[in-house]
Formats: sequence, structure tokens, C-alpha cells
Amino acid sequence: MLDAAYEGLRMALQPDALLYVGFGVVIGLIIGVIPGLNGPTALALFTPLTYRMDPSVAMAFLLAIYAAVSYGGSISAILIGVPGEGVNVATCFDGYEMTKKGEGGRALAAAATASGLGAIIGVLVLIAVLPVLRAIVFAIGPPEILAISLWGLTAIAALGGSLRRGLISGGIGLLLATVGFEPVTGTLRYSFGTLYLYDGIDLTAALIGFFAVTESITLLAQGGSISRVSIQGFSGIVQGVRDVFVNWFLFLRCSVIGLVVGIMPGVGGAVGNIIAYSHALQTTRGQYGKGDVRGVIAAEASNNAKEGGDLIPTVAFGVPGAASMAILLNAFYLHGLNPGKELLTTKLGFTFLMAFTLLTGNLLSSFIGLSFARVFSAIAAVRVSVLAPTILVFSFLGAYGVNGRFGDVVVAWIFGLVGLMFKRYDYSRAAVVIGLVLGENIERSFHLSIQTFGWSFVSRPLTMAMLVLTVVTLFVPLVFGRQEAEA
Amino acid sequence: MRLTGGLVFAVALLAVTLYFVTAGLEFDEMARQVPMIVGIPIAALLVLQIATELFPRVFARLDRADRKQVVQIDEELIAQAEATLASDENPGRSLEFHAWVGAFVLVIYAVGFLTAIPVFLTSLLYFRLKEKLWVTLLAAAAMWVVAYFGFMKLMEVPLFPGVIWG
Repeated sequence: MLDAAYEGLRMALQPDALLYVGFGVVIGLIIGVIPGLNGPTALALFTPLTYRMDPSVAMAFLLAIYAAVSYGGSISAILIGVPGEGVNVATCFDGYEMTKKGEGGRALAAAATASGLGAIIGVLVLIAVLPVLRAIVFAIGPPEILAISLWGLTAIAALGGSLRRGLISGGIGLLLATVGFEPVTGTLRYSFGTLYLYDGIDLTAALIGFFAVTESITLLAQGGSISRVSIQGFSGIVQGVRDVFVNWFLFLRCSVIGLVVGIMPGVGGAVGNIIAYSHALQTTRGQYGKGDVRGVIAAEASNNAKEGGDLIPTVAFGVPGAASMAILLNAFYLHGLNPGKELLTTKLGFTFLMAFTLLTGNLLSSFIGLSFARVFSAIAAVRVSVLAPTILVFSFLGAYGVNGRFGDVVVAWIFGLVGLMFKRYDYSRAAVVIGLVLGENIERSFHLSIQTFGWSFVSRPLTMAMLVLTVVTLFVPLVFGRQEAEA
Repeated sequence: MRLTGGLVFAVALLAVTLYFVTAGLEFDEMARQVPMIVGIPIAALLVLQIATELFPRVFARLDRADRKQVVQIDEELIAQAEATLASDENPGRSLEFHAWVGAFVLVIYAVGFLTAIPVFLTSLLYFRLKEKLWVTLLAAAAMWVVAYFGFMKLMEVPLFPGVIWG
């Protein structure tokens, strides 16, 4: 373990990696402050650029972007009252009110401190559970991997909104993943006779279409300027830092909430910060909604502690808990990194690299974001009519860049349309991409389980437990819902 | 009972799912297992979705239960969050801009990236979005530089030349 930690630290401190972390943080902050663009879009957009990078530098770059997007969103939430993405919505409740009272600097500093310290907690827990995860990963085989993947996908579908539409979305993702050669028998499926589909739908192109193209078109359709920047107050930075330490117990509780939310597939994302804010509201007395700094601390601590939690199921079991993690998982595959045993044994150094990058990325984004908050918030005022078309061009260049196939450009375009429809009619895009990314592994694990154990694989204790949990996850919302509806 | 976009989309998804199931019948036993195991229940759920779109009153109770969250959060907070994130969605404009993007893909196919990028950006920014000429030219030039120097020279990606030039 210590050797791997040293290896991870060595990779994180390479000049190239450090340079790309800085670059990634600035990109993440810029994308974060622009309302309508979010973490998945940022990762989908920049994954193709990493294709020719060394895997360690690529991971450092992508995780730095991921770490910075959240604080970028806080800047626009606090200074102009428009959250960059869903995860910053609770920050907006009190943060913007503080800005209106002339305490924008205090709110930003509280957010930066809570984010940075929250991330430290998340990363420390990630590192602390690595030995336990190693033990678990060595004890499980294809049946358990299958059951965990099914549970993860079900949880995303069941906990993310409408159960029915969530399940449909996850199922469509799994069906799309069956295009191309079947992983065990090599049977060619749904290729329409085109050579392009022999290897299946290209994940990177599909993810670019589903997020970057969809979001750019949505921005264009909304039109106009995103927001007008009019920052009235920017004082109290030292006070803001002190606020977090004064309210340390609230900060700690909300960090734990974020961590748990991150580990649980499906619950995270936009809901995590509202759960933490709601907890602060219920457990402390204050002027919430009118500019109480504790509202900012609660939301931000949860947001950034969640990132460490997010990585746990992704790295250990290859089961992403949210859309961002599904895109990151695709980047793992792109760079020949296999989650599970490999990332916890022979390539454990990479896991430490990810933890260290998440930490430095968060601390750096808090520092840079706070220092140049006015500059970053001004970016939110850039007209979408200029921004969105350039993002579209960049998206298609990226889609083409990985494999150099024109078919990938077409796939990005088609998935852009499909993404628009999924967004418009409230189907879960996260569930589709997770189904698409997990599909091949689920199918391979299924066949290996059948071949090795027959159908009795379901009676293996851990498999059985996970399958029971899957059924419970499926039916709990219905039971709860029926009781509420009857009441 | 009325024809809504949600209904049309659900029917389209059902058609796709049924294609996966029926075409899957022709594969060998192992290759068809996952498409069948996943596709048949999804088709059933889509039929239910179509029914709720067609007869919203009949299925109102089921729909309420379906939307209920396991993680209970103060409803006022949720409403506040939704209001904060609300945006002016315009489906017609979305489809129009998607058509613009489709045209961009066609132009890439015809003349390649390096020609298509300035053509697309100039047409969209100047003629459709009524941006100033200097902003249009600056954006087009900047993205051409990104494509040529960033992708072709730095990353060594030979960009698609188009069927006409290529």
C-alpha cells in the first residue's frame, strides 16, 4: 500500500501532471461558472483530448476538471444568483442573499474553505477504505460483479426521479450496449451490415453527443445572455474562512452526508447539496434563505466530500454512481485502466494518483476560484450565441479525434438528438449512459456466471444479498409512494 | 386522449426496443439472452408509459407513486431549487438548432472539418444569430486555429478531409 501511495504521489507530482491539473482546474472553473454546462459535459468534452496523453497525466487532467467544476458553479451561484449546475443550487439560496447584503467575499471564502476541507474528508475516507475494498474485490467473482452492477443501475433508475422512466432509460442503455460483437461468443448483433457498428457504439462519441451536443443546443435554444453580472459586495474573506471553523460540527456532518450520497448510486448529483442544506435547516436555528453563511457551508461541504465518495464504487467495482463517473469510467477504459482488481492491486498507484489529484484539484480550484472570482463570474455573461456554436465545433472535433472515424461524428449528432428528447421528456440520461458503459461488463459477467456456476450462481451469499437489495431498491419507492398517495 | 410529444417519444422507444427483441430472436442462444432479458420487461414498461400518456387520469395514482422519492426532502426546498434552475425551454428552437448541427455534419462529410468549421460558424453566427461580423469572424478563425493547430499539428489527428477534397 505504501509503495502504491508513493507511486501515486510521484505520478501526481510529475511536471506534466501538475501542469495539466492547473490547466484542468481553470477549464473546470470556466465551465462551472457557465450556467447550463456541467460536470458530465466538461468530462465528455475533454476526454477525447486525453487520448494521446500518458494515462497518469490524462487521469490527473480529467479529475482536476471534475474537481473544479463544482466550485466554479458556486461562484456564479453566490455572485450572480445563477447556479452553474444542479449541484450548486442550495449554495445559491443563502450565497446570493449574502452577496446582495455586501458579503459576497465572505460567502465565496466560506464556500472555498468548506469545499477544500470537504474534499480532504472525502479523499481521506477514499484512501482509508482502500484496504477494505481490496479485501472485498478479492472475495468476489463474476456473479457478484453482475449483482453489484445490476444494483447500481437499478439504484440510479429508482432513486433518480421517475422509477418507470429510470428503468426504461437504464434498459435502453443496456440494449444499445449489445450492438456489435457479443463479448463471449463473438456473435455479431444489430450491425445493419455496416463495418462501423462491428465494435459497437463508440462510447466517447455517444457521451459527447448525449451531454455536450445536447447542452449546447439547449443553450442555443434558450438564447440571449446567460446573465448580467452586477456584483455589489466583495468583503469579509477572512470572516468566511473563520465561519467554517466556527461551524465545524455542521461542516463535518454535511461532509459525511455528501460522502454517503456519493457512495450511493443515484442519490447524488443535484440532490446531495439539498439534503445537506435541509439537514442544516432542521438541526440549527438561523436566518436560512436570507443570507446565513451556514447554508453555504452545508451545501459546499456536502458537494465536495461527495467527490471522494463517488470514486469508491467506480474504482472498486466499475459501477459509476452518476453520469460524471460513467464518463470517467469510459476514460479509464480508453486508457487501458480496468476498475476492480487491477486498480486496487497492480495499478493501485493510479487510484492514489486519483485521490491526490482530487485533493489538489479541489484545493487549487478553491484558491484560484476565490482569487479570481470576479473574472470567472464575468465569463457567465458571455453570450450563448457565441459560446454554444464553438462548443459544438469542439464537440465534433473531439468525437472524431479519438478514432478518426466519420461515423463517430454521426453518432455524436444522433445522440445529441436522443439526449434532447430524453431531457425534454424527463427520462434519465444518467441511467442510459451508465447502462451503455456497464452493458458489456454486465453481459460478460452474466455469461461467465452461467458457464461457471449454472443458474445456481444466484444462490451465492453475496450475490443473493445484492439481488435482494436490488429488489428492495426497486420496490421501496413504490411502497413509499403508494402509502403517501393513499394518505 | 391526445397526441403529445411524450407519447410519440415513448412509442419511438417501444419501436426501438421491439426491434432489439425481435431481431435478437435470430441470434444463437447466448447472444440473445441479454437482449431478451432486458428488452421484454422494458417493452412492458414502455407499454405502461404509453398507457399513462394516453390516459393520464386513469393512471394518475400510479404516476404519483412512480414519482415518489425514497430520499424525502422538504417539498418547499425542492420547489425553490426547481425555480432557481428553471429556464425558458423552447422545443421548436432546439430542433431547429439540431437541424443546423445536422447540416454541419453533412458539410463536414462533403468538404471536411477545416472548410466546414468556418462555413458553419459564419452561417450560424452571422446569418441566423445576427452576431456582429467581427465577432463571427473571430469565433470562426479561433475554432479553425483550434482544429488545425490543436488537433492536426499538436495532437496529430488527421482531420476528415471530406469526400470532395479527399
